[in-house]
Amino acid sequence: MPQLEYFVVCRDVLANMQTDEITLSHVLEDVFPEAYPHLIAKATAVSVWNINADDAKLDYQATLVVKVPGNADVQFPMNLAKRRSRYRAMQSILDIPIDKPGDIIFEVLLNGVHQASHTVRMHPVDDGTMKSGVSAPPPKA
Amino acid sequence: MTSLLLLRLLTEEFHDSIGVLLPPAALRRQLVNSSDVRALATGIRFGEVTADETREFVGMIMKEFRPGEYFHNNLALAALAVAMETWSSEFVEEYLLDLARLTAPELNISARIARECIKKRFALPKNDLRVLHYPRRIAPRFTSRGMRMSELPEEPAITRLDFLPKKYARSS
Amino acid sequence: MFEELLLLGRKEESIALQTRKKTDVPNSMGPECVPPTEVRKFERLLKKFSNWKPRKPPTGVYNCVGHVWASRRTGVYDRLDEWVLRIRDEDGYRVLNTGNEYPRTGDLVTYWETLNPHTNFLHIGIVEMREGIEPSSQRLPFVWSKLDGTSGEVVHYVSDVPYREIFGDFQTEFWTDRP
Repeated sequence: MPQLEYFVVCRDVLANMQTDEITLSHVLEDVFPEAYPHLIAKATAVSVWNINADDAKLDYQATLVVKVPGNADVQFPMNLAKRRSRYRAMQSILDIPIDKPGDIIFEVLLNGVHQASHTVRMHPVDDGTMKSGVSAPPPKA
Repeated sequence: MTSLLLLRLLTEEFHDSIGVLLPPAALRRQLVNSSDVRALATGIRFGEVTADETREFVGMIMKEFRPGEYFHNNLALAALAVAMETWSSEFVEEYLLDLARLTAPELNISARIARECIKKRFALPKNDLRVLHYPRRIAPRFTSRGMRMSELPEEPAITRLDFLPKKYARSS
Repeated sequence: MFEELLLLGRKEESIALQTRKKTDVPNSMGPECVPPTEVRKFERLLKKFSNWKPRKPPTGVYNCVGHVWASRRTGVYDRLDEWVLRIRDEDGYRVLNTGNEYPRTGDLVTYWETLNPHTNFLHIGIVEMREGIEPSSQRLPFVWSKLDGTSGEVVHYVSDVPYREIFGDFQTEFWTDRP
C-alpha cells in the first residue's frame, strides 16, 4: 500500500519548475474572520505518497474529504498515477463557505480508509483573543 | 514548422558534441548535461516546443529508418527522451514507453536510453494539481464582496492544471 | 508512436555467451551496416584524436565489451556496471596492483567514472605494451579499442580518450588473467 508521507492544508503551493521542490505557503491552522458568514477563498490540501515498486502497477485512489460544520461532507477523489515511486496530490478547493465558528476538518482517505486529518479552527468573531494568543486589553473604565 | 531546438538534434555539431557513444546509463547522464538537450528541455517546459511539433518531428525522422542499417537518428530520439524525461504529460509517457518497448537492433541505443529515462522518471514525484470549487448545492454562500454565489455564472466543477496555459502555446 | 516499427516486429538477436562459470551473459548483435553519417563521424573523431591509429572501419555488430569478451561476435549493453564486474570475477581476472605490477600485452584496461565502488562503466580495451620514445624508456600501455557500438577499432594511448572532457575525470583499472 502507498504510504502517506505528509498531509497539510495551506493557502497556496509554489512549485519550482527547475528543481521540482514545492513551497507550502500559509499553512491554515487558525482563522479569525471579521464576520460570519465567511468564505475561505482557497485551501490547498497537499498529500505526498511513497509507492513501492509492487504497488506502482496497481490502482489507488486518494480522496480528500472536507467537513464543514453544518454542511454535509464533500469528497474530492484523485487517482494516484501508476509507474511512480512518489506522488504529490495537490487539491485546491475554492470558495468554502463557513457559516459559523467551529473546526473544519480536511481528511485524506486511501481507497476509502482514513490516513490523516488536518484541522482548521474557525474562531468566533472578537472573542477577546488576539491572533498572537495574547488576550485583548480590558476596556477602559 | 519544426522548432530549431528539435532540428539541432540532427546536426553534425550536436553529434560531435556527444562524440563517442557511451554505455546507456553514462550516455543518459551526458545528454542531461548537454547544452542542446537542456535548451530543448526548457523549450518543452515553456511551450516553445509543443507535443504536436515533437510528434511531427519524430514522424519525419522515422521515415529515414532502414531495416538492417543502424538508424542514424538514434541519438536524436535518445536526446528527445532525456529532454522530456521529467516532464509530466501523457505525450511524454507515450513517447518514452513506446520507444522503450522497441527491440529493433537498429534502435538499440535510443530504446535503451528511453528505458534509463523511465527508471529515472519512476524515481521522481508525480505532481497532480487540481483546482475544484466547493459545490454550491451544499450551502448558499456569499462572495467576499457580499454577492450571492447564485448570481455568478456557472463554472466547471473541476479545472485540471497539469497542462500549460494557452498563452505559452506556440502560435502556428 | 512508432507503430510501424512495432508492427514490423524487429527483434534484437543474441548468441549464446557465457562466463567460465556458465552464467549466461545478456547480449545483442547490432546491425553490421553503419550509415554514412556514422562513418563521417568516425573520421571526424580520428581527426580530433590525431594520435589514434585506426585498425578497422565502423561496424555495428559489437561494442567494446563484445570486442574483448565475445570475439567481436556481439555486444553487451545492459547493466554494464554489474555485468563487467561479474564477468571479471567469473572468468578469473584479477585487478593489477599498479604500484608494484606493470600491465602486459593481452591484459585488459577498464575505464570508470569512479572506482571503489565501481560506478558508471565507460569502456574496456585490450592492452598492448609498446616501447617508449627512448629505447631504454619504460614501455607504455596502448589500448586496442572498439569505442562504441557504431565506431571502428582504433589503437590509442591509455589516457588518450574523450572521457575527461565529458566527465571532468575518469579512473582506469588494469585486469589480468595471469596468476
